[in-house]
Amino acid sequence: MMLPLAELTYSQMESLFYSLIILSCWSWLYKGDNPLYKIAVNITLGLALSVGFKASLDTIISKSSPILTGNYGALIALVLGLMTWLRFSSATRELSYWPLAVVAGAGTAIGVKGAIGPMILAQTRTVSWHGANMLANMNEFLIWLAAITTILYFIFTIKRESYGGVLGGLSRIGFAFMAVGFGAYFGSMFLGWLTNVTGLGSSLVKYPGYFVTAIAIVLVVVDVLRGGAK
Amino acid sequence: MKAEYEDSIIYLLGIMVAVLPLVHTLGVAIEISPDTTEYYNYVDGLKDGAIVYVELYTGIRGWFEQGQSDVAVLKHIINKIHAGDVRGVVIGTTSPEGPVVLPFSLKVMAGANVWDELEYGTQFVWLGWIPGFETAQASMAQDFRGTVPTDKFGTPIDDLSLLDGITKMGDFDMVIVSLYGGQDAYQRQWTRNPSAGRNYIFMFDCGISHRTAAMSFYPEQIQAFMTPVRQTSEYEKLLGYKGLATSLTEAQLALQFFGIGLIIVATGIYWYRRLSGGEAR
Repeated sequence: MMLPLAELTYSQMESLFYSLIILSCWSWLYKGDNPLYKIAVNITLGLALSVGFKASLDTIISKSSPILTGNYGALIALVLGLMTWLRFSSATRELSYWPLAVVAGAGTAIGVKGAIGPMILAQTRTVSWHGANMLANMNEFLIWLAAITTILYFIFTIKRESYGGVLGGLSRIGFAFMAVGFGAYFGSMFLGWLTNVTGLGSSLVKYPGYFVTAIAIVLVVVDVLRGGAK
Repeated sequence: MKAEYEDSIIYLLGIMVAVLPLVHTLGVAIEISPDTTEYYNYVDGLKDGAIVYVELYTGIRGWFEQGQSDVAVLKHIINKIHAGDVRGVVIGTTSPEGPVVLPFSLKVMAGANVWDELEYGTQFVWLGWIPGFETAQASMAQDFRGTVPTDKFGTPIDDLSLLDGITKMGDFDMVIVSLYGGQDAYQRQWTRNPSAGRNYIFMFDCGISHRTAAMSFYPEQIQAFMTPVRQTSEYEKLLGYKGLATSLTEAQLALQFFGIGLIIVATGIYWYRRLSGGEAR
């Protein structure tokens, strides 16, 4: 069966191109650095850069236009933005740190302000070990124990070698909690990646992507028969 | 079989096992968890012309993981709009990838032909990328109109009737954050930050890896959260359709069975070779 290129809709052409890019990227797994892989990577990076550039340009234009209607606050932002370009000259590089300092300072202040309520006060308030639900009580106790012992692990004012006794034992429990936490986090991350890879595969087995898959399989088989792989 | 081909063949078999449910759903019985029911009930309970704000912080590389939740929840909200319970949905993003991701989700949703039936400006509004991330979120919480003066297409929000009376985030009835990754700025700025003036229901569709971060805010600060794939497949079941999340759940399940099978077979071969005096490689 031939692929009826002329009859494909825009959406199907998109799927076809999408499948081609996916398999070209995955070709690295079989053949290492190869022309198909390089083309796919360059297209992806180029498109990502152009989309980002266009979005930024649109934003600058739309956010700067209020200057024309008398909103001079936007003018300050525009000037600070332009100042970041002063880093291209060694004579003016120092000045380019000012807008970065403003952004970092404002960002930190806003983050800290928002953190105090939901991330600190609310967290200490919710712990109770004597509710009606025994399982929930156990959970709350474990959370408390994990928080305390993990903090103990990170006490740097006392040398770890001199911990000993109760403090040493508790910090080792904290270490175990961290190991469990990181393990669970990695497991979750892995499942997420697996899902994305599987999801990408869905376009390779559906029309018209399977034409690209079929061609790729033929190419791999031919290559294997000729002595194959890397 | 040559030893150097064993890995390749196992990978190939693994891919085939994973791909099978994507071609045709297997029909595995999916049990609906209390977390999903809770989430569903919050959305389903919207009434009296509620206005929902949906923040899309879904990354391009995580669309298959996270995007299915966006599709399912937006479908549900749109159904509620048609039923007259929800007045409209406002979609925005503080991620520069958001405007690229939304068309993907719309494309999937277009199959159900629900999106096109909404009237722009009165039933839904697309704000596009709102730059500044956490600074913008903090600002939206206090002064929504000043932070987002126009929509994605440059239309002043004063001309969009859906946003009449919305001056701060607290004026929305429900805020849903679709979050891929480990950002916790939303919890900081839109849960208990006094500036938000919050009286809305706050929910998370979070990436699998963000669940651990979201849990510490649950239930007192986040009303409900939903993780992608498995939980989204449950949501799809509640909505009465089988989407990509259902296929991906089945693919994961099939791969897990494949992995367990491999362990059993490899262990069996190992012991067979060892007990028969051969090389137990």
